Amino acid sequence: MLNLKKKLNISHLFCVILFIWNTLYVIEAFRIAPPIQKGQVSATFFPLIISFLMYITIALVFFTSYNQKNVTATSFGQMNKPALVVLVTIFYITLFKIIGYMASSILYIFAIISIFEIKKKNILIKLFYAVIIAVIIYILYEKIFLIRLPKLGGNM
Amino acid sequence: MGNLDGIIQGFITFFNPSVGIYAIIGFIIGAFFGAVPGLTSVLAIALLLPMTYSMDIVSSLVMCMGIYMAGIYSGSITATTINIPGAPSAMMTAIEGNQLMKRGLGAKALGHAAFASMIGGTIGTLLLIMVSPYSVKLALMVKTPGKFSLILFALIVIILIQRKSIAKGAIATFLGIMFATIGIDTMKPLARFTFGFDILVQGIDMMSVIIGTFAISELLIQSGEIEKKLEISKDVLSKIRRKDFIPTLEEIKSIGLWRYFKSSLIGFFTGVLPGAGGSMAAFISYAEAMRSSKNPEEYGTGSLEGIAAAETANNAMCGGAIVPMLTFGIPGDATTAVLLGVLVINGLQPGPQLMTKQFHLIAPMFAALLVSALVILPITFYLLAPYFIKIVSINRGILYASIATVAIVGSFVSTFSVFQMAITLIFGVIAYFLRKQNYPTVTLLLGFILGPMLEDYFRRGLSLGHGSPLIFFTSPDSLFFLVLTVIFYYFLMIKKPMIMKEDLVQKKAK
Repeated sequence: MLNLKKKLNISHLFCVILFIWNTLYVIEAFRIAPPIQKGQVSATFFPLIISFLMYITIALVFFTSYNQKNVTATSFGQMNKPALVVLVTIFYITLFKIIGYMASSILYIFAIISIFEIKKKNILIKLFYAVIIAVIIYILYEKIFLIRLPKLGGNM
Repeated sequence: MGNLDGIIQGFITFFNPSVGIYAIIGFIIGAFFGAVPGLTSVLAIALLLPMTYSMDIVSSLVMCMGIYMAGIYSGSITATTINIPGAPSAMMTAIEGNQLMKRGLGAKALGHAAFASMIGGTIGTLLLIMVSPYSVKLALMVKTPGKFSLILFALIVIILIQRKSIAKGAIATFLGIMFATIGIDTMKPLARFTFGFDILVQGIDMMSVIIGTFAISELLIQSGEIEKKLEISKDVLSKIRRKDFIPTLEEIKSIGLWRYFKSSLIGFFTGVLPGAGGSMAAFISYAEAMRSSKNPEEYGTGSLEGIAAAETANNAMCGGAIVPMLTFGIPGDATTAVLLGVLVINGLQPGPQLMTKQFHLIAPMFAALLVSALVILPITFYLLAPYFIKIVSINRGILYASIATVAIVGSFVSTFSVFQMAITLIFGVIAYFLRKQNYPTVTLLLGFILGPMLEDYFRRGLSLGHGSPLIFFTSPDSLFFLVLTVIFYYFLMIKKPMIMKEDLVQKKAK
């Protein structure tokens, strides 16, 4: 049992996720239409072929990595900062239309700089950079490429 | 309009300062992205993609060509100076260039890399101009069943070329095809794979996929590798003097003009191959140069010939990769896949029609590629090379915060939809996990782009054959591509030529 646990790694977990996705896709395909209707291929025929091939390749990757001796495992600890970036990006997308481009972008840039910084910097310096970058991108989109960005309250 | 007239007209359009300036801007952007490890020309074009909405299509394409050529060449700068390729295609250059750098000959290595890039880029573009009329004639001969088999051939080759994991390449391709099926069916007004979410009926925007796959995933990867800060020492900088850059006539003669020409041909035809890209072009050319060299013992210790072979080929690849993209809508590498996005998003459909009736939009692009290789590259290199190598020390927090904001805002401006911003993030996360598990993300994008075409021609082909798949074997054009697929399978999987033995040659070079 312990041996099996040792052999299973994040690569297998990834295969399981792909397997679940593929199964959901197949279920959805059959929910839409059978692959052949009135003797002709339907809108789900081609996707089902792809799903079938996907099952084969997932199995291949799963068993190949099971037999591999030196599998480099990615620990969840390594994902702390990427997870933080995803989290702040979710907040950014949520706030983007509500508080407008400028305010949301300043906060977002400030957060990303803070995540990426190695040596602790003064908050005011980071805020200064955040404002400068947000203004430059604003000028780039709004003034040079004439693309409207949301203002405070969601107005364009 | 004859092809030559069209090309001349393209050059006239290009030399209009309001158009030509975009090639210079693109070149500088491309050189910056190519010189910073982690950033690539693909990412640069992906970030600029939303801005092309409000730009003239000719200027957009001209700018993309500048980025493309510069991005490939400038990868050699950090490859030589700090042994980290700025672009994947500079991997072989790193082997030789850094050895020369250690011997105090870094400027010489950089100069030869730039000279070889100039030669390769120029020959590759000239071949593109010469070959494109014939490829259009070829494209016109391919009918619906043949188009299916051609795309199938392209996808299979793309998967087989993923040397380190063909199965993972296949999974990423299938994922791309699956994501492309979300939304309205290609032939009937039927919503598919919405999983009960009405918002998915609109489908997934190509821009979100491109930005998510290349920009957001890179942001996530880099955020996990913050401690690997790259610094370039003052000692290194002091070794780079502008006057040492220029290669001498003797050195060029010792490398041999045939070597440059042969490497250009290798690069160009590798570029034509779907999914091969600059890394493979550089590798094949380098391996061939080592095999046929009079001084093979110099390889791995700082061979100028090795640098010339690799850099000539990876820049010649640019011209080759554009041929299938423009005539068949099949991208030769990641950059041309994103470039295809620029065309499609701006309402241009690749194919023979584009190359005949809308050639006036494409010809300035050829001019931009040629002028970028022949003129802008050496001038920019001579003027800016000492500054480009300092780019490595740029503040990564500021750099990636800027990239993140441009990427997310960019995904918004394509549809003015917060939903597509979320889709961009989701694709960024998917691509991040794929990359962490060594799945190629380029095949995901190619699957997303080519999947709908494959399905469309498959169903149309079946319809023409009254439901019988035999049409794909009886139609001569289709049969040709199916036989070609078998031949490629034989050479890539059974015979396993040197392109499948990359690690072996790298070890030998080391």
